[in-house]
Amino acid sequence: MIHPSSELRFISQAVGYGVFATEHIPRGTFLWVLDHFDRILTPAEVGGLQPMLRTVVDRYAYQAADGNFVFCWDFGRYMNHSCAPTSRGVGDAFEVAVRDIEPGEELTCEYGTLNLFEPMTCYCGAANCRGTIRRDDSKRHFKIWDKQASGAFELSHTVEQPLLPYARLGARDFPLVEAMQAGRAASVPSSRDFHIAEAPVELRVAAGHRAR
Amino acid sequence: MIHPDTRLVTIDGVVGSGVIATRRIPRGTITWVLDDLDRTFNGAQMNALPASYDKLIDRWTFHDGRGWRVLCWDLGRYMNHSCDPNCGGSEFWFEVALRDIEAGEQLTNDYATLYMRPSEGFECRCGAPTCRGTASHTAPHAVARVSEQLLHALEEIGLVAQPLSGLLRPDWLERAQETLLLNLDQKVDTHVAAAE
Repeated sequence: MIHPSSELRFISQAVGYGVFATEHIPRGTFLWVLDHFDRILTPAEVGGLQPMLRTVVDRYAYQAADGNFVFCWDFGRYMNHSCAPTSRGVGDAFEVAVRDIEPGEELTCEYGTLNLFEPMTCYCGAANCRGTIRRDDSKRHFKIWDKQASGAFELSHTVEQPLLPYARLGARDFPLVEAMQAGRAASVPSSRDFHIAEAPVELRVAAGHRAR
Repeated sequence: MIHPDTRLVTIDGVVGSGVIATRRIPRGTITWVLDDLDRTFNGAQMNALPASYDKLIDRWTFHDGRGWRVLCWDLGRYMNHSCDPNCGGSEFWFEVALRDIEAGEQLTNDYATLYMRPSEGFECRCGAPTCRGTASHTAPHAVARVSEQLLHALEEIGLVAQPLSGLLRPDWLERAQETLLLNLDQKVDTHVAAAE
């Protein structure tokens, strides 16, 4: 579920839609949580979808660390990639804001942890833009990503968390939430651990996955 | 999945968003079909949801009258209520246009056909001459009227362009026609009995 202080906006024909903040959102806020309305599909289920629906899933779903595909039911699926994103993934269920976000700013995330089928050309314009986003980017960039994620998550108990009541927590998320609620420092899993080496054989033909 | 010739628009501050046709959609066109990306929750799955989801369920899901709550992944969940709706059939897991829908016109359901919970009732401002003023969870006459319109609209289903036909399962259509005919027969019987 995407943060309530956000809205969907059409950006351009090339980029499509994006999600934008409508109010100030402080660092440490969960911008998105995996929730109980999101659809989780096994690779076999994705392979069996009718072509009209397969196109939608190829563009808007991501592959989670357990190999299943997550298709967000709400505007969360329109979040674009940036090489300097507003949030980093923490555990299986959270995207945490790594800086303060001003009204009108686009909410962006890192597709390098979403197990892309195909390399994606990036036009985000950030000073550190990687140009091409690859399935295994976390192997090269995990240190800086993890540092940003941990630093932001440490603040999570100090800010309002409107999305927390809706989160669908996985095994790796429960200790994080316990630490957060106790105001303790949490050991945030490394983004490296969310990388799956190979795309499922039955799905490898799919192209244009989440093209920005 | 909702018909491709539709778009989400802001209606006003009270109603929020709604779905309009971007081109004319003739009567009998399939406007929505339950698909594999929509979520369906049975009673046990609903009860397993955290209490924080109650408002989301009221706002975004509908009941099919057969034990399933349905959450549409696309614009389907933004369709507004009208006391004189132009779409119907959700209880059969697909909808058709009950009359011609013009470009720019909102696609609507009568929420009384969506088996609302009592808590979901609201003041209606649909503006239809037949507006009931309050959209409550029971309105048997309105539901019967939609059923009758639906039965007639289904007669046109083979006569108009159907971009969603690939998603409609033949047994769903058969079931709808059989159920609607049966209901109509029962209604006729009741009328005959009353007349005698």
